[in-house]
Amino acid sequence: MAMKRPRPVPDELTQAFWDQAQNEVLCIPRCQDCSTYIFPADFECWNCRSSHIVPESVSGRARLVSWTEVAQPIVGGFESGVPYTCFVVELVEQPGLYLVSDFPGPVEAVPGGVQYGMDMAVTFRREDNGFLLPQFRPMRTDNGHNASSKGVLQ
Amino acid sequence: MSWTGKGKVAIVGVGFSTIERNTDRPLGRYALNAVEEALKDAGVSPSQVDGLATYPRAPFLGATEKDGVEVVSVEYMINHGNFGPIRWYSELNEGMVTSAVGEAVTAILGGMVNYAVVWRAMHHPRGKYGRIVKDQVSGVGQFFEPYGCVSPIQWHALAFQRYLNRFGGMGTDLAPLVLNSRKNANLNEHAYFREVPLTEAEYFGSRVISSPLRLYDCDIPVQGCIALVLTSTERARDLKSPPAYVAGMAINGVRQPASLHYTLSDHMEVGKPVASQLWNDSGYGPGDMVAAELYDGFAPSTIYWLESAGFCREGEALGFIKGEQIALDGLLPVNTHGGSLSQGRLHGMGHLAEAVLQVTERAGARQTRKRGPVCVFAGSPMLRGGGMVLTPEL
Repeated sequence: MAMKRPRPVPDELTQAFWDQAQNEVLCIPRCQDCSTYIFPADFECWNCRSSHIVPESVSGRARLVSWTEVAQPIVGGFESGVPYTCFVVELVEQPGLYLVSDFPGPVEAVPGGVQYGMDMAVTFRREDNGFLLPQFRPMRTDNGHNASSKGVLQ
Repeated sequence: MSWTGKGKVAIVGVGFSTIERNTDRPLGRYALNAVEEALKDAGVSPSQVDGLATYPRAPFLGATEKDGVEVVSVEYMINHGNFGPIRWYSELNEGMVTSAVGEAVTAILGGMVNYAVVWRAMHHPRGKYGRIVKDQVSGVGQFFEPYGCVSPIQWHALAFQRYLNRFGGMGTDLAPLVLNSRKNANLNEHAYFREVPLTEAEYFGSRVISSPLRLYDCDIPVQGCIALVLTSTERARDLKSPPAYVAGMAINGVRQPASLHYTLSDHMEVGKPVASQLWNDSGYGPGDMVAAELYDGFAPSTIYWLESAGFCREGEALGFIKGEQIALDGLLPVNTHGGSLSQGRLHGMGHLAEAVLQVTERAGARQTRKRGPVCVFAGSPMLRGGGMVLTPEL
């Protein structure tokens, strides 16, 4: 039995994110006055109060900030997926720009293993209902290891 | 500048209902029992009560908020409490119960209220609960619910894994804290686990729920209520039980604009301003506390408070809880009543009630050696909780 993922219901703030995800583009709202990415989207920039916020495509590159292996069936609809792993990644564009992702299986099964700060890249996975969901996976180096760019995450 | 209300209001009564699990008895009954006990403890008659405050929200996903069954509102209490004319009440939607107590303090300071009753009633249903299967998700949940990231334990697990990534250590380094709390609960007649010990082997053998958190790193959901009676310091002098003076109180009003702040906000960034306000307002510092009742809905929250409130440095709390330092006869007794982990999930009210009992030297076998101020922090620092300092003297 497959996991039953609730399908996002886009609203005027999140429509662009999900529409662009269907084109395999990761799109994050950005303040046009102070350049701050605003995610989740808001009508006003939390930094400068501007209301001039426009979705912009981003690199899709991120770093792994945290993970948890969900070992017990504690989430409705995801019981059959246990164990699975949730990631939190920080997009390279801005500190604190976090997205959640999930991986089918325990932490040990993540190819190349997990490491704090390791490089991740967006990929788009098609669900049973045809919907494309952004997911993040480790970036591999040419010699098959997981990539980790320089610099320590705080 | 210290707070002008310092020491002008006191907590003069504490009352407990029974603390149980999986019960069909309506929650309203527990709340009325706790209020009755608190008034008895204070020597105040119900007809003298003219103020009421609570933070009523049910503690699990999918609760229906049915009044008198899943929550106990101000409306319920007015209609069932047989109080005197109620001049003032407050029912909060934000913050933990510390915010409701804060409301009562300000109402007394403002001259609106003579005797305020504050309660926190918690429902624990029979059977399975809290697991909802959704077809669709709107709002901010659309960025984490489709990934199976829904439950508060997952958010805490992610935050604590990040903590371990930053500062080192492993999940089971929480063991000394969890075991200390159970030892304390075994001395507490109002604890759900009053008669059930927990061994180190049981802790290490317990199942991982959402790594790095295990079963015993989570609080134990209970049905029950604790109530407090507050009045002015002047009135407090003539009452039956010794007063615990409110020396300071603070709420978390820190900006958290980034997404997913609950899971990953820097606990120092959000916890420190709350603690600083509390220390400034009360005129006390962490070194003055003879005990610390630090929220533990999940065990890492206590770790975050130890650091952000200044009991130890950032990244050092897992070392701080080793050894006997946090035991009842240690340098800083922590969660002397057993915390939410072992007394039960009372969302900070258990911590507050214990601070009152410690300050007034009525904690029985759990009484700490030293007499002096005790602090409470309710809610994880990443939540809109708050803190208080109570003192035995002015």
